[in-house]
Amino acid sequence: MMSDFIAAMTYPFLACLLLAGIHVYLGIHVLARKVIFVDLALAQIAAFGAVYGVLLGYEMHDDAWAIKGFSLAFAILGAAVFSLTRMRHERIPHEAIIGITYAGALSATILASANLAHGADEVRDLLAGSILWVQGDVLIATAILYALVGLFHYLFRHKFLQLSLNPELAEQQGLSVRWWDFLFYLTFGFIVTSSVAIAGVLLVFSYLVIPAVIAMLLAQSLTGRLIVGWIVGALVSFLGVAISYAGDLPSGPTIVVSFALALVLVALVRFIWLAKSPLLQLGKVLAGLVALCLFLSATWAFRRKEEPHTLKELLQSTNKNERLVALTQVDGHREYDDLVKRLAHDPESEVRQQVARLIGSQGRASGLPMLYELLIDESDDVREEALRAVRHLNLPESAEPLAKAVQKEKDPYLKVEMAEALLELGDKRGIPVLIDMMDPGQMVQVRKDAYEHLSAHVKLDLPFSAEMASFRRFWQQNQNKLRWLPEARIFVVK
Amino acid sequence: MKLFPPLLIIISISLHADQIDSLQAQIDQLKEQVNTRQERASTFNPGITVFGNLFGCLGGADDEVEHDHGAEGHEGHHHGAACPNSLWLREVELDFRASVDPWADAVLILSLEQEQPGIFSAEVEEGYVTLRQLPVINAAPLGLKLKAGRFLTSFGRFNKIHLHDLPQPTLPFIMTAFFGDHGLARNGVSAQFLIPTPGDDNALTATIEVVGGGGIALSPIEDHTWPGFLGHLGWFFNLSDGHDLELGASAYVEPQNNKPVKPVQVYGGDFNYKWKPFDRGEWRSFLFGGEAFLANVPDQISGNLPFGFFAWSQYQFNQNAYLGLRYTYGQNLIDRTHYKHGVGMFFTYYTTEFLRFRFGYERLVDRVVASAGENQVMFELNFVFGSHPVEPYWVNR
Amino acid sequence: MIRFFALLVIFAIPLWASKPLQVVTTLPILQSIAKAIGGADVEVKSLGRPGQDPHFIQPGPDLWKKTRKADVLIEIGLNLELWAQKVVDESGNLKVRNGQPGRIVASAGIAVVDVPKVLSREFGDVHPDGNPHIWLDPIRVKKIAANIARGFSLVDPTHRDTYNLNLQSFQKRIDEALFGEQLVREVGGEKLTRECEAGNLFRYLKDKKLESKLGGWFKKAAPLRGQKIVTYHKSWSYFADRFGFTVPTEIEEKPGISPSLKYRDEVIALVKQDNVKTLVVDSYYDRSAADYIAGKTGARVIQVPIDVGYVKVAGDYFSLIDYLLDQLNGTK
Repeated sequence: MMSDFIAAMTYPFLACLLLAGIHVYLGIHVLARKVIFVDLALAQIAAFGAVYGVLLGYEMHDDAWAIKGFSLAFAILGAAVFSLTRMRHERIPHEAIIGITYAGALSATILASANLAHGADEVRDLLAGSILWVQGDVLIATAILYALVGLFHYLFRHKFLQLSLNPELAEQQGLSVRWWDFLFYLTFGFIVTSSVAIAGVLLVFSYLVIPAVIAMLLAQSLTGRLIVGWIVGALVSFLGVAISYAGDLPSGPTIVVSFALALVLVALVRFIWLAKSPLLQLGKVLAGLVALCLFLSATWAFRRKEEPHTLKELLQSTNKNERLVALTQVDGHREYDDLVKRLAHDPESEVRQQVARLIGSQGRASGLPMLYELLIDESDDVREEALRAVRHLNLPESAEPLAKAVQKEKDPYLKVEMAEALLELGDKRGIPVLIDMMDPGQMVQVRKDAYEHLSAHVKLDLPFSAEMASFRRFWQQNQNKLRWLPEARIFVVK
Repeated sequence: MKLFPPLLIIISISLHADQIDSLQAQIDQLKEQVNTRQERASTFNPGITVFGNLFGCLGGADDEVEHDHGAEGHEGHHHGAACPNSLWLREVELDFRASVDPWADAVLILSLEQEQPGIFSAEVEEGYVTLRQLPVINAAPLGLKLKAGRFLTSFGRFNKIHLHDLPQPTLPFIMTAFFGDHGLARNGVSAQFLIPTPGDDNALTATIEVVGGGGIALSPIEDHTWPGFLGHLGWFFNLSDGHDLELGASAYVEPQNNKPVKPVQVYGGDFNYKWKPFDRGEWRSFLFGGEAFLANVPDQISGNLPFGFFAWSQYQFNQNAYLGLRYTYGQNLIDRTHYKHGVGMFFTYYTTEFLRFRFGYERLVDRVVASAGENQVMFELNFVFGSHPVEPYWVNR
Repeated sequence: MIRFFALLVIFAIPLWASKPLQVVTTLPILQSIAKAIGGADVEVKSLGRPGQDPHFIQPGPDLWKKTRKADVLIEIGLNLELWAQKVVDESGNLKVRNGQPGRIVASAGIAVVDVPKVLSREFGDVHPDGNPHIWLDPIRVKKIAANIARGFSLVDPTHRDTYNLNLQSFQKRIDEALFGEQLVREVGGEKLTRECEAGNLFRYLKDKKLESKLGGWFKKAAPLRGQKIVTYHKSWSYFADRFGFTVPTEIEEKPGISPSLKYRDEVIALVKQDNVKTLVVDSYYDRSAADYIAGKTGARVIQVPIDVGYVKVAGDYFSLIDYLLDQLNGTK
C-alpha cells in the first residue's frame, strides 16, 4: 500500500512542490499589486490558446509542444494587454479590465471548444488539469524553466519588488514602469502556461493565491512570507495528494479544497490568537461552526432520493423503463425470484410480457405457476408471449393449464395456437377447438390456420373445403378412438 | 474585512470544484449500466432550482461633480454612482417548490446576494403557500388562487419578475426609485381571479392583495404596521396566430389614517406586445412593452405627483441572440421640474435556456445638473441548474 | 297552443340535460382523435394551435381561460408538454389535476423508444422518459384512442357504450387505412397489429403467402422500406420504425441545439456516405441548415408539419399520414 502510494504519487507531489516554489513568490507579487484576477485571466488566456491550437488542427496530446506554443503566444499577448492597460490614475480600475478579459477568455474557450468533437473533455482537462499524469520528462523540463525564471527574478528582484509594492515611487526613480511590468507579466505568462498544462487553471490559481495569503497572515517580512509560503505550500500539497490517493478523489480539486480549508483554519486560529479575550473568540468560532453544521444537516434532509443503482432497486422502481431494463439483466440469478414473481402482476402489460419472456428462457419449475397465470392475462400481447414460452418449454404438465386457458380465450388466433400447443403435447382436447375455429363465421386466415394445424397433427382425410358437418362428425365418431404417435407427432384413428 | 477577497476566491473555486466533480461522476455513470431516472420530483422532495447571476459593471460620470442622489429615494439603487467597476457574483437564488397536500403548493425562494461586492446578504425573496382550492367547500370560485406569505406583488409586470429573468441586466431606475432595490416585495395575502369575458381569444385576470404597507422607497419611513391594498387588472388578447397583447392597470393604496406618517398611493399602467410566429418561432420573436407610474406622496411639495415610465423592446434575430433597447424617464421625487432619463442597449446570447450571456450599455442624463450624464457598461452571466420550473408566459426564454 | 309548447319543452329537456362533455387537449392531433371517439357527446378545444411547436408553447391567460371549464384535459405526457401543468395550475380547474379522472395521459401503457441512458442537460434538451412523438405511429394511435375512450367513460359513464362503439370503428378505420381492407377482412386487425408490434408483419405475410394482399399505408410506404432518411429533429422515430426506413442521424447537433458548422459537415459526410436522398424538417424549424446540406449533397429537403390542421390537405389523422407518405415518396 505504502509503496504503491509512493510510486503513484511521487511525480505529482514533486510537481506540486515545483508549482508551490515559483507560485508562492509570484503570488506575493500578485497580492501586493492587488490584482488577484490577473493570474486567473492569464491562465484562462493560456487555456484558450491551447483550444485555439486544437481548432487549428493540432492534437492536444500528440502535438503538445505546438499547443504549448499557442498557449504561450496568447499568454504573451495577454501580458502585453495587461501591462499596457495598467493606468496611471486608475480611472477604470485595472481589476475590471482583467475580470472582463477573464470572462471573455473563458467564454471564448467554451465557444471554441463547442466546435470540437470532444470539446467538453478538452475544457475539463484545462480546468481541472491532469496533475496525476505528469511525466518525468515534463517535470524536468518544467523544473528547468522555473529555475531560469527564478534566477531572472532573483537577479532583478529589487526592481520587481519595488514595482509591485510601490509603483509611484518606482516611477519617480526613473524606472520604466511599462517595460518592467511587461517583463513581469511575460515571465508570469511563461510560468502560467506550463503550470496550466500540468495542473489546470484552478490549481494554478490556488497555488498562486492561497499560500501567499496564508503567508501574509502569519509573517511580516518578505523573506518570512516566502518561507512560510513554501512550507505551507509543501505541507498542504502533500496532505492534498495523500487524501486524494486514499479517498480515490480527483487530485487537482482535492488539493484546492485542502488549501482552502488550510486558509480558513489559519485565519480562525490567528483571529482567536490575536483577540483580546481568546477564550471568548474561541467560543464564538465554535458557535459559528455549530451553526454551519446545523445548516448543512438541514439541507441534507432535503437531498433527493437516491437513484436506484442496484438491480434489486431497479426491479422495484416506480419507473416502467427501469423495471423493463432490470428484467433483461436478471438472467438466471435466483435471488431475484421473489421480485420477478411480484412483477408478474405489474400494472404495465409491457413488464408482464417481459416476465413471460424471462420465464420462457429460464425454464425453471419455480416460474411455471406464474407463466400459467399469464396465459389468461387481460392483455393479448402478454398471453401471446406466455403461450410462446409454454410451447418453447414443451412440458406435459402444461396441458391442463392450456386446456383451461383455451376455453377462456377470445382472440381467435391465440385460441388456434393454444389448441395447437395442446395437440403438440399429445392432448386431444385441442381438436374440437380447432374444428370450431374452422367455422365459416371466422375470418379466412383463422380458418386456414386452424385447418393447417389440424391436418398437421391429426390423420384425417378431409380437405379444407369440406363441410363443417363432416369435421364435426369425424370428431364425434372418433374422439375415443384416437391414438397419439409421439415420434410422428400425430393422432391416428385406431 | 481583509478576509473577504480570499473568501470570495474560495467560494468561486469551490463552485468550479463542484462542476469538475460532477463531470467526473458523469463519466463513471457512463461506465456503469443503464441508469434512467424520473423527471418528476419525488412526492416527498421539493423541486430545487439554482440560479446564479454574475454581474459586472463599469461606469463613470461625465464629470466628477457629485450631484444630489438623495432625491432618488432613501434606499434607491444609485445608478452609476453605485457602479463598483467590478465583476462579482451578484446573486444566487435557491428556488424550492413542492406540493404540500391536495389543497396547496408551496414555493420558497432564498436569495444570497452581494448588492455591492463584498457586502453579503441573505434573505427570503419569496416564501408563500398557494391554495388551489378553498378547504371545506373544496372549490376554487372564479378560478381563485389564494397566495399567502411573502411575495413579489403584482404591480405592473416587471415587479413580479426576478432579477435573473428580466430582459435587461438591471431594473429600470424608475422602479428602484419608487419601490426600492428589489421592487415591491411584501408579506401579505394575494387573490387572483379569472373574470369571465365573452370570446375565447381574450382573458381578464384580476389580482387583489393586502400587504404590509409602508416603507416603500417613495416614503422615507419604514413602518409595516398598517395594511396596504394592491390591485391589478390584466387584459390579455390573442390578436391572431403568434401575436399577443396584454394591457394592465395597477394601483397601490395605503389608506388614510391618523398616524404621523402620511400614506402613499401609486398608480400604474402597463402594456406588452409579443410576436412569436409559429413558423421558426424559436428563431425570431419581438417584444415591445412598457410601464408608467404615477405616485401621490402627501409629504411632497403640494401638487407634486412624480411620474415616470419606461419602454423597452427586444428583437430576436437568430436562435440564440437577442437585441434589446430600453428608454426610461423619471421625475425627481421632490421637484417635478427635474427629471432623469436614459437609453440603454442590450445584447443577449443564450447557449441554451440554462446559460445566458448579456452585454449592455446605458446612458442616463439628469436634468437637474445639465449634461451630468452617467455611462454604464454592463456584463451579465446567468446560469440555471436543477429542476427548472417552466418560465412564466411573459418572460420570453 | 299551450299543449304544443308544453310538449316541446318536455322533448327539449333531454337535449339541454345532456350538455356535451367539455374536453381540452394540448395538441391538435389529440383534438382530432378525441372528436372521433366522443362524437356529438363532446366539445373539444385544442390549446396548442396547428403549426405550434409543442415543446415551446408559452401559455397565456387565454389558455387558462379555455381550461377553466373543462371536464377533461388530454395530453400526450412523456414530458412533452411541460407547460400543461402551468396551465392547469393557473386555471384553477380541480377536475383536470394530475391523478384526477379528468386528466387523460394519452401515452399511458404505450411502449416508448429512445430512452436515454444517462440523464444530463449536457446532451441538450432530452426527454427522460422516452421519445414523445408517439402519434406518428398508427398502431400506437389505436392505443391512444383506447386511453381516451377509457378516460371519457370514467368521467361520463352514461355514454360509455357510445364511446366504445366509436373507439371500435375508429380502430377499424385505422386498421383498414394501414393494412388495406382486404387483409383486414381476411386476417383481422388485432392479429395484424400484434404481428406489427412484434416487428414480424412482413415475415408473417410471407409465411402465409399474403404479401400481395397488403394494401393501405403499408403499400404506399413500400418504396421507403430500407431507405435512409435524415430528419432535423428526432421526432420521426416511431414513423420510421413503422414504415421501414431508418434515420441514421439528425441535423440538430443535440436535441434543441442547432448544428454548429463542424457538425453540419459531419452530417454532409454521412449523407453522402449513406446515399441519403431526403432531408425532412418539421414545419416549425428553420430549414437553412438542411438547405445547405442539400446543396452540397444533391438530397432534397421537404418541410412538413407533423400535426393536423396546419396544411389544408392534412386536416385529420388519416389525411395527415397520407400527406406525409406522399411527401416522403416525392409524389404530390
